[in-house]
Amino acid sequence: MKKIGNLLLIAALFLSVCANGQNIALTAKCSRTAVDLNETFRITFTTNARRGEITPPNFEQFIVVSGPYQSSQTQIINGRVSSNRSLSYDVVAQQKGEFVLPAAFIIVDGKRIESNKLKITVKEGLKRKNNIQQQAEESFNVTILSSKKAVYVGEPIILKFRATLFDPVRNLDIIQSPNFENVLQQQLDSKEESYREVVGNKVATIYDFDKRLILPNTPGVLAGQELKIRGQVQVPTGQRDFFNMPLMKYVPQVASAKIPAIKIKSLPDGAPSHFTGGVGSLNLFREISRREVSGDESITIKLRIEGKGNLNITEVPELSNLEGFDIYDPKFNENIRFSERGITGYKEYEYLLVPQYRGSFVLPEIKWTYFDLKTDKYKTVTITEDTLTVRNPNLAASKPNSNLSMVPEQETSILNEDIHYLQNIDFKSDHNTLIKNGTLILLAILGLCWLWQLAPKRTHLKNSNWRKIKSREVQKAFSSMDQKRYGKMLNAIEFGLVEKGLNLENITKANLQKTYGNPIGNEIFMLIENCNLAQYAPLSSSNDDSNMNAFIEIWKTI
Amino acid sequence: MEDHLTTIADSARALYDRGLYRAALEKYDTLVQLQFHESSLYFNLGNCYTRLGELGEAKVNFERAILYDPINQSARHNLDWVNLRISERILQPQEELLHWISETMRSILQPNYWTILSGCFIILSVFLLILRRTKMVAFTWRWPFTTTSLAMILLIIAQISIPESQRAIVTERNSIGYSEPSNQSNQVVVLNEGGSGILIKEENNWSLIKFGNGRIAWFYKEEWENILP
Repeated sequence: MKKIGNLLLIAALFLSVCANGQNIALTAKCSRTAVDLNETFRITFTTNARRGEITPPNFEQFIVVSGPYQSSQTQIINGRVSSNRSLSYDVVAQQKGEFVLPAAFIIVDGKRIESNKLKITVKEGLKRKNNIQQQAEESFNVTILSSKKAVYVGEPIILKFRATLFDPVRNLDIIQSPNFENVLQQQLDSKEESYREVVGNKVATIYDFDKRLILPNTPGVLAGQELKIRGQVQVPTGQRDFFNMPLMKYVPQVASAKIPAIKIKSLPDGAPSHFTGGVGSLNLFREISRREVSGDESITIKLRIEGKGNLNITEVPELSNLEGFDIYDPKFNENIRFSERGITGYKEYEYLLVPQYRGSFVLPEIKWTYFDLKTDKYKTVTITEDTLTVRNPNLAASKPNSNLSMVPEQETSILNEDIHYLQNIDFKSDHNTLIKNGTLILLAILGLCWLWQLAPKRTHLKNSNWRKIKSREVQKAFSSMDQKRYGKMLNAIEFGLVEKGLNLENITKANLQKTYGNPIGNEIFMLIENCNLAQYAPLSSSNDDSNMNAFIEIWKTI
Repeated sequence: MEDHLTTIADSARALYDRGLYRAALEKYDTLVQLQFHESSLYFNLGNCYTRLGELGEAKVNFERAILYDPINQSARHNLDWVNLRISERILQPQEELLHWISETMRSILQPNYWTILSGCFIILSVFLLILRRTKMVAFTWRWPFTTTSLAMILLIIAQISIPESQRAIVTERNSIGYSEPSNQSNQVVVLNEGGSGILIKEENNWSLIKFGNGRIAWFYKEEWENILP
C-alpha cells in the first residue's frame, strides 16, 4: 500500500513538471475581423498561464459595450493537464476604416508576454444578419429631434433625445454624447417621459431621455459627433423550456442618431452701434427710486433687460458717469429660466447714487438695440433723459467740470503734502496697575482717617494725669505771667469740655447750664468769656488771681 | 523688557525706511499684541497701512492715535491726509458730550497723571486728618474736607479721561448696509472703505451702525473695525 502511495506521488510530481514546462502564450481573437458600423463584436484574450493578470490594450477606436467577461477551464486528457483563462469584451466601432488593435500583455514570473495584434476593418453594409441579430437591431432606435430647422446666431434651439423601443430593452445608457460645435448648451431639467405610440405597424414605447437648449454662436450648420446609446435587448434563443415556452436572452445592442441638419444663419448686416448681441423678444427698463432728494438720502437706479431670448449672453448697458453723484459698484441681479419655451427672465444692474452736490442733474438718454426675431429686424429701445434734483442744504452747489476747485484751500495743501514720518515710541514701564492699586489703598486710608475723626479722642483720656498736667501748665503760666496764659487756660477748659462732648467753638451758656448745672455752668461761661477778653485786652494782676481761683474751683467739676 | 520692545520698534522703523511696509506692519503688530497701547505706536501702524494703500485700516489707526493722545498733531495731519483720499462722504458721526469732555481732559493730562494728582491730594488730606487728630486738636475740619473733595474730583476726571469710543470704520473695499441682520433684507446703503459710524449693538455676525444723519443699518461685522482696540 505504501509503495502505491509513493508511485502516485511521483506521478503527480511528474505531471506538474510537465505542466510547468509547457510554453506560456497569450492570444487575441476577434469574433469578426470585418464589421459593420454599430455592429457589436467580441474580442477575446486567452492564455494558458495559471498566474498573472491579463492587461487589455486601449480600445481607442472602439467603444466597449459590455464586459469584461472572465472564464477559465482546466482539462486533463490522457494524464495531460492543461488550463485556459480568457477575458472578453463586446465592442462597437466608432468610425469606418482599418484599425489595428494593440497587443494585450500578461506578466508571469517577471516575464512580459504579449498577444498578437488584431486587424479590424470597419465598413458600412457589411453586417451579416441572422434572425437574432436582425431582431436585436430592430428592437430600438434613437433620434435627435429639433425644435427648428433654421435659426439665427444667438437664437435658442431645443433638442430632444428620443429612444423608440419596440421590444423590451434594459440598461439603456448613453455611450457617446453629441459634442455640438460652436454652441452654448444647457441641459434642461425635465422628467424622463415615456408613452406608448404606434410607429409604422408596431406599438412602441417612446422614451424621451434628454432635452438640451442649444445657443449657436457661429453661422453654418449644426455639427458634432453622433449620439450613441446602448442597451440590453431581449431576443428569443430559438429553444423552448420545460413548459414549451420560448427561452429568451439579453444581447447588447448599440443605436446611433445623427445630428439634425439645422441651418444657422448669420444676423443681417447694418447692426446699430448700440447692438450688444441680444436676440429674441427683449426690452430694456430703467427704474429710478426717486427723482428728488433732500437731506442725506440716496437714489437707486435699476437698468434691467427682460423678455425671451439669449439673456444669458446679453450685456446690460452700463450707467454712464453722472455729474454730482458718487456711483457705487452696481449690484447684479438675474433670474434666467431655461425651458422648452426658450430662455426667459431678466438680468439687471442696481446702482446706488449718493449726492455730492446740490442742484439738478441730467440723467442721459440710453439707447439699446437687439435683434427682434418676430420681425427679423434690429429694434432699438430708447429711454429718454431724466432729471435728478438734490436739495440738501448741507451740500455745496454743483459746479460742473470743476470738481477739484470744490476742495477747500487748507485741504489742497494737505493734498500736496505727504504723510508725517514715524514717531518714536516711548516704552516707559506700564504703571497703570500700580497707580490704580496705590490710589485704592490711599482712598481706603483716607476713609479710615475720616472715620477716625468721628471717633472719641480716647487717646488723650487714657492719660490719667492729664488734669494735673493741664492744671500745672495753667498755674505755671500764671505764676510766670506768660502772655499766652489765658490761651492755655482756654485750652485746658476745652479739654475738659470735650470730655463732656462739648465743643468750645460753638459753646453756649445754655449748653453749659444743661451739662454742669446752673451755678457751675454760669461760672464756666464767665471764665471762658474772661479768657477770650483777656487774650485781646490785658487784665490786671487782681483779675488774674480771681480768674485763677475761679479756674481752680471749676477745674474740679470739669 | 523695555530693551526688547525698543529693538522691535527699531527693526520696524528700519524695515519701513527700506520700503518693506508689510514687514514693518507685522513688527508693530507684535507690540500691539503685547497690549501696549501708545498713541505713537498706532500712528506708526497707520503710516504702514497708508503706504500699503489700505486706507480704511490706516484711518482706524490714526483715529486710535488721536484717541490715546488728542494733541498728537501729526496723527491729525495724517488722518486728514487719509480722509481726503477715501471716497466715502457720508456724514461723520458725532459722539456724545462726555466723549468731548474726556478728550479735552485727556489733552490736558493723561488719565494716569490725573490719578497721580488725585493721589497727592488724598495724601494731603490724610496728613491733615492725622494732624488734626493728634497734634492740632483745634484745627478745623474744613481744610481736610476741601482737599478730600478736590481729590475726589480729580479721581472722577481721571476716570472720565480714560479713552472710550463707540465709533467703527469700514476696512473692506465697501460694505453693504441692510435693514435687518440678514442679506435677504432690503439694502439700505453701501459704504466705501473709510466710512464710519457709531456701533450701537452687535448680533451674531452683524453690527448695527448709526450714521451722522441719524440713519441706522446692519452690516457684516467683519467689514468694520472698532476704533477702541
